Amino acid sequence: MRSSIAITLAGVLASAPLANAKLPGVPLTGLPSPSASRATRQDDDTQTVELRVAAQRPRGVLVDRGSVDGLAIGDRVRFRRRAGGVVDGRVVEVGERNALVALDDPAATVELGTRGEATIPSSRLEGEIERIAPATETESDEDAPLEPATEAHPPWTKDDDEWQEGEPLLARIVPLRPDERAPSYSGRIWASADEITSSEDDRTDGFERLGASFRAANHLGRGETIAIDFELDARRTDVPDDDDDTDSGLRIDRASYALGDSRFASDRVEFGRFLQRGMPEFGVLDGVEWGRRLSGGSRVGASLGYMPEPDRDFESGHDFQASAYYRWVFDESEVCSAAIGAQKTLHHGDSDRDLAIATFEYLPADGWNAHATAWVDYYTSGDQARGPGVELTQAYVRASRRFDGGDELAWTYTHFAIPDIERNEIPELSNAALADDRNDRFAVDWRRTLDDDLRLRAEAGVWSDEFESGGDGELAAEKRRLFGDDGRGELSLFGVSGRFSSAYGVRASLAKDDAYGAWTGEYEFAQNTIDGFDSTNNELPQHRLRLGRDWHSASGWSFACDVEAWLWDQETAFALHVFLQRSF
Amino acid sequence: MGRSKIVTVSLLALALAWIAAACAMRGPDAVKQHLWWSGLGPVLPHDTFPADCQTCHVGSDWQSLADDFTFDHAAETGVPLVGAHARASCILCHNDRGPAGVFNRQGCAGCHEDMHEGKLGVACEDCHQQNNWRAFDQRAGHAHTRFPLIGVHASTACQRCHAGAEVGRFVPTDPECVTCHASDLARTDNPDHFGLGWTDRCDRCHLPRTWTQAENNP
Repeated sequence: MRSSIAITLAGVLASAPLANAKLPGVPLTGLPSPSASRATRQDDDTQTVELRVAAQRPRGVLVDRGSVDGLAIGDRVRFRRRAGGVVDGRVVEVGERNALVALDDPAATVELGTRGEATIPSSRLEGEIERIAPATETESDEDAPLEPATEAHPPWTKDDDEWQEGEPLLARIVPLRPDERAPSYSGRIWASADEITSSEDDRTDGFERLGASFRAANHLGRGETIAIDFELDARRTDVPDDDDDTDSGLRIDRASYALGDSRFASDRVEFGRFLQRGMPEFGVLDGVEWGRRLSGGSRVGASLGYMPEPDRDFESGHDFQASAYYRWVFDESEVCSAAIGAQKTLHHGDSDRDLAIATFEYLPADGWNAHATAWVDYYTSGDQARGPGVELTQAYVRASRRFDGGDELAWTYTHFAIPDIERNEIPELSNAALADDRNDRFAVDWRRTLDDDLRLRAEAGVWSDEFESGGDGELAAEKRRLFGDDGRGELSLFGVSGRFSSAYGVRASLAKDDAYGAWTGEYEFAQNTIDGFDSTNNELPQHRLRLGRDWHSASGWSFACDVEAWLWDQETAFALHVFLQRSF
Repeated sequence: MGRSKIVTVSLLALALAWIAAACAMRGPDAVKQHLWWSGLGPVLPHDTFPADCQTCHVGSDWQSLADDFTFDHAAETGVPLVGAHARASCILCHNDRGPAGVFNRQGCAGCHEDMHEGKLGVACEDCHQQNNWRAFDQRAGHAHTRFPLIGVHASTACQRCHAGAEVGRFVPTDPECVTCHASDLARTDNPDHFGLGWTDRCDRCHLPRTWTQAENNP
C-alpha cells in the first residue's frame, strides 16, 4: 500500500505552490516527484507535462513547472482557456521549478490558473524515473488488485533549510522582485488654520498651513521610494502697540530617493533631504545616507551632508555633519536591540559638535518593555561655556510593564541640558546660563482597568532644574458607554507645582462617536497661584472650554474643527482650529 | 491693501485651489482596502486561516477578496486597529520590509518616522490621536511640565515659544521669561527697563494676567 500513499502525497505536493516543501513528519526521500505524477507518456518519443499559469509577466506567463519537471527552453506549450480556445507559446526561460512561456500571440491573454501542457522528449526523464517496488508483500497483497505502476523520483538531494516543522506550505512562496511589481503611489494633502484672538487690545494670532506629502514606490522598477513633503506656512500676529508680525514661506521637508532595504537588498541608500533612517536622533539631512543589514539583522551605516536648521525655515548650508552608527539586534525578531552612533558637525566650516548617541530597546509583545536613549556631548577647551569634558546632554528612559487585563505601569525619566553648540538650534543664552541649565523629570504612570467600561489613570512626576524643583500629579477615571454605547467620558483631578506658579484643578471631557467621526467636548478649571506675590494678587482662576468635531470618510477625507475659549481674571480668548486632509 | 490682507487673500485662494486638487484626486477607495497587491506575494501567514480558500478569495487571481470579507484584526491577531489604521490598506503594514509582528512590537516607530528625532520619547499616543495624527490637547499636557500654561500663555500659539514647532521640534525651550520676551524687553521704555537694569527675573513684577500689566510686588 505504500505506493498508493506515495501517489497521494505526490499529488498534494504537485498541487502545492511550493513544490519542494516537505510535509510535517514525512520524509520526502523516495517519494515520486511532481514530474512523475504529471508527466504522461504520449508515445515512444515524447511526453506531456501538465502545468498551470502561476503568474503573469510582461514577456508572457510564468508556469509552475521547471527543469526538474523536464522543461527546457524551446519547448512548445499549449494553454486551454476556461472560456474555450487554446493559446500556444514557447518556453523562453527555465527555472528549477518554474518557467517563463512567451505567447505566440503577444496580444493574447491567459488567466492565472489556466491549465496547459508542454510536450517534451521522453529522453529527458529517462534514467531519472524508477518504479517503486512494494516494501513487503503480504498474503493480502497477493489477493489485492494490482496498483498502477508508479514512477519514483531518486532521493532528494537538496534540503529545504528554510522550512520548519509545522510551517504552512504557503508561508515560503517566493515573492516577486521589485522589477516584477507594479509601481504604487500614495500621499496626502492638507490645509489647516489656527486663529486665536484675545480680549486684551484685540490681539490676534493666525497660523495657516498648506501641505502635501507624496510617495512613489517602485516607480522605476527598482524597489525605490521617491518622497516629497512640502508645506506653505503663513503666520500673522497683530499686536496693538507694535508692528504686526507677518511671515510666510515654503518649506521643503523632504525630497529624497531611497533604494534598497528590502528582503532582496541588504544595502540601503537615500539621498536628498530626509530624516536619517538609521539613527533619527542625528536629524534631518541634506546629503546621503548609506546603511547595510548584516547577517542576523544588525545594521551599520553612515551619512554625510548638511543639516537644515531645525526651525520653520529649514535653511541649510551652515552646518555640515558626518555620522556613523551600528545597531545590534539580538535576533531578527528585534525584540532586543542596542545602537551606538557618533556625529561630528562643522558650523560654517569650524568644528562645532561632537555628539555620541546610545540607544537600547527591549520590546517583547507582553510584559516588560524598556527604551533608553542618551545624547552625550564631548567638549574641548574651545567650548567656553561648558569647558572640556564629557556631558550627558539629554536622556530619555522609559520602562513599562503590561499586565493581563490591560493594566500598565510605566516609569519615565528625562534629562535635558542645553548643549554648548554654535548651530542655530537653541535660544541665545549667556555662558553662565548655558553652563548650569538643566531639567530632570521622573514620572510614573499607572493605568488600571476595572472592567470593560471603566479605567483609572494615575500620573505623578517630579522635576528639578538648576533653580528649583517641583512636581505634578493627575488622577483620572475614564468611562466608556457613557450616555449610550458610543459615548465616553473622563474626569480628572490634577495639580502641578511649576517654576513660576502652581495650580490645582479639574478637567472633564466627553466624546460621542458616530459612523463618521466624533463629537468632543472638554471643560477645565484651574486655580493658579503665582509665586512671589502675596495673597492680594497671586490667585488666578482660569476656565477653558473646548468643543470639537472630527469627521472622516472611507474615501480619504478627514476634517476636524475645534473651538476653544479661555476665561481668566478679566480677560477672555478664543481659538478656532480647522484641519482638512485628503489622503490618496 | 496691506501686506497682511494680501497674505490672507493669497492663502484663501491657495486653500481653495488645494481643496479643488484634493477633490480631483482619487482616494484610497480607488485601491480597495483589502485588494492584495500580487507583487508582494502572500506575506500574511495563512496557517490559522480556514482551509476553504473561497471563504476570502474570489476569482482566480488571489488578489480579489469577497465583497463581504471581514477580518477582525483584534480578535485574530491581538492587535486592534484604531482610527486611520482601520481604514488603511493591509499592504501598508504587511509588506516586504519584514514580518509585521516585528514592527508592531516597536509601536508607532515600527512604521512611522520619528520627526521629533527621539527627543520626545516613544509614547506618541500621549500627544497624537490616530485618526489624522493631529496633536491634541497639548495645553492640558503642559501641566506635566515645570511651566503650566496660565493666563495669556494658555491662549498663545505653540510656535510663539517653540520656534521649531512646525517641524516637530519642541526642545530646548528655556522657561526664563526673556527667552521669549526679549523683543518686549528691548522696546520697553516706560519705565526704561534696560536703564534700570531690569533685564531678568521679570516674574518679580509681571503677572501673566495680561501681556503688559505689572503689579507692585511688596
